[in-house]
Amino acid sequence: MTDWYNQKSLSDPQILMHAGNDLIMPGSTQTKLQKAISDDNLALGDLQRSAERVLNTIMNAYTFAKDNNVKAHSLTPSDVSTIMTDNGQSW
Amino acid sequence: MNLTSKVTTEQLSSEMAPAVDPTELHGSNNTFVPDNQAEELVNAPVIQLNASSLENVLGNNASTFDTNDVTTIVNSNSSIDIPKTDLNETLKSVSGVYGSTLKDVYDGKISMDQFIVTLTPKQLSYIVNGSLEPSNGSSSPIVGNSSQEVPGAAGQTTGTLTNRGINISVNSDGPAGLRLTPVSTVNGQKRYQYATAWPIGTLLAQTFDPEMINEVGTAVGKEMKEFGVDTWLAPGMNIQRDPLNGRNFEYYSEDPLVTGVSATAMTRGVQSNPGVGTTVKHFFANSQETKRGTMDDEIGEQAMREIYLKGFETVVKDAQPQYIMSSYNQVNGQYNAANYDLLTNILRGEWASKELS
Repeated sequence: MTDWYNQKSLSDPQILMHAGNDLIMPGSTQTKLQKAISDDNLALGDLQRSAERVLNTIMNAYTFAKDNNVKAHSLTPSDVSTIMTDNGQSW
Repeated sequence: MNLTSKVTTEQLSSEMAPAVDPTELHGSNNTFVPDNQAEELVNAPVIQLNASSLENVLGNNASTFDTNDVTTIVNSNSSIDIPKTDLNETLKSVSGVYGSTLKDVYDGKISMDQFIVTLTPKQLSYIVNGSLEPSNGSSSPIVGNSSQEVPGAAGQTTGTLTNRGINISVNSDGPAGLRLTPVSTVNGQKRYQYATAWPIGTLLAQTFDPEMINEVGTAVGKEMKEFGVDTWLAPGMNIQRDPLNGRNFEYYSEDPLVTGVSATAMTRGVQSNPGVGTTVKHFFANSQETKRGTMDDEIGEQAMREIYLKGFETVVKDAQPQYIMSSYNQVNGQYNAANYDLLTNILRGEWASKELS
C-alpha cells in the first residue's frame, strides 16, 4: 500500500499502480484511475492484478471470516523458513 | 581470511544502482599504515575457507518480472475495450460469473479471475483505493484518521461493493499499540476503545529478546480482533541513520539484523492470531522526517542491500507480513512508490512475496 496522501499517488496514481502498489491510501484517486484507463495510460491488467491482491488480502482477513462465519488462518504460513528456527526458537 | 576461489552464494540482478556509488572511497592518499604492517601480515594467522562447500547456497533468485509485461483477464463471453498501452499485453480468457461473491471465490466455486473479470474499471478503481472518495475530499478527515467503521482508525478499504461480498477491512495506525479513539459515540451509543500502549520499538529491540517481542505482537493481535481491526500499520522499521530523525523512537535499530529479527518477531506474534496482520514500513530508506515527501537518498547498491533493505528482506522472507507500505522519499533519483525495480523486481521477484499488497 502507499503511505497516506503520497503526493505522487495524488498526481499520477497509475504510475504507482504499475510499479506495484496495490492499495492507495486513504483513497481519493478513483476517478483519476478511471481516466487513466480511458486515456490508455494504465493497463487494465495492472488494475486487475492490484485488485486481485487486495481481494486476496481481504478474503484471508479476520473480518471476512467473521462476516461469513468461516475459520480464519494465520497469515504467516507454518512452513515459512526462518532464521530464528535455526536457533531452536520455539515460536 | 581467504577463500580458495570466488563463490556466488546468490545470483541476483542489479537493481536501483546509482550512477556513481557514493559509498565507495575515491582517491584518498591519507590511509594510515602502521610501521610494522609488513611484519604483522607475515605473522598473522590465516583461515582458509573451502569454496566448494559454499557454492550455490541460494541459487539464481533474479527477478523474472518485466516492467513492459502485463497480463489482462478478458471474458470469453463478451468483448470490452482494453486500454492501448505500450506494454506487451498477454490476454487470459476466462468465463466470468456475474453476480458471484467473494465468498464464492473463498469456497473455491469459482476462480479469482472469474470474479475479477466481471468487475468494471470503475469498480476495480474502488477496490484499489481506501474508502476516501474525491467528492468528499474537501471535507477530508485529518490525516490518518479516516476510518468510519472503527473511530480513530487510520483507514479502511472500500464499502461500495458489499453486494459482491467485499467487506470493509479496517487498518489502525501504531506505532506502540493500536491508535484508536478511546471514547466515541457511534449511532448514539458510547463506544470505548482503550488499547494498550506498548513500549516503543527502540526499547523493545534493545531487549535483544525476540521471544518477548513476539509476545507483545501476540497481545496486539488479540486487541485487533477485539476492536475489528484487520491490519496494523506497524511496525516501523527504518534504519536509525540520523539521531535527529523525529521518528527514530518507533524504529528498532541502526543495525539491519536487529531490525529484521525484531520486525519478524513482532509480525509472527501479531499474525499468530488468525486473520490479522502487520504492515511493515516505510519501504525504504525513510530515515529522516525533514522533507520526507521529496528527499532523495543517494545509496550505493551494496549499502542498500546490506543495510537499508536487509531488515525488510528478513521480515518478508521469514514472517510474510500482510502489507508493506511504500515510503514517500526517493532513492537514487526515483520515488520509491513509483519504482518498479523496488516494488516488483526486488520485493516480489527476488523475495518471492507474490501475495503481498
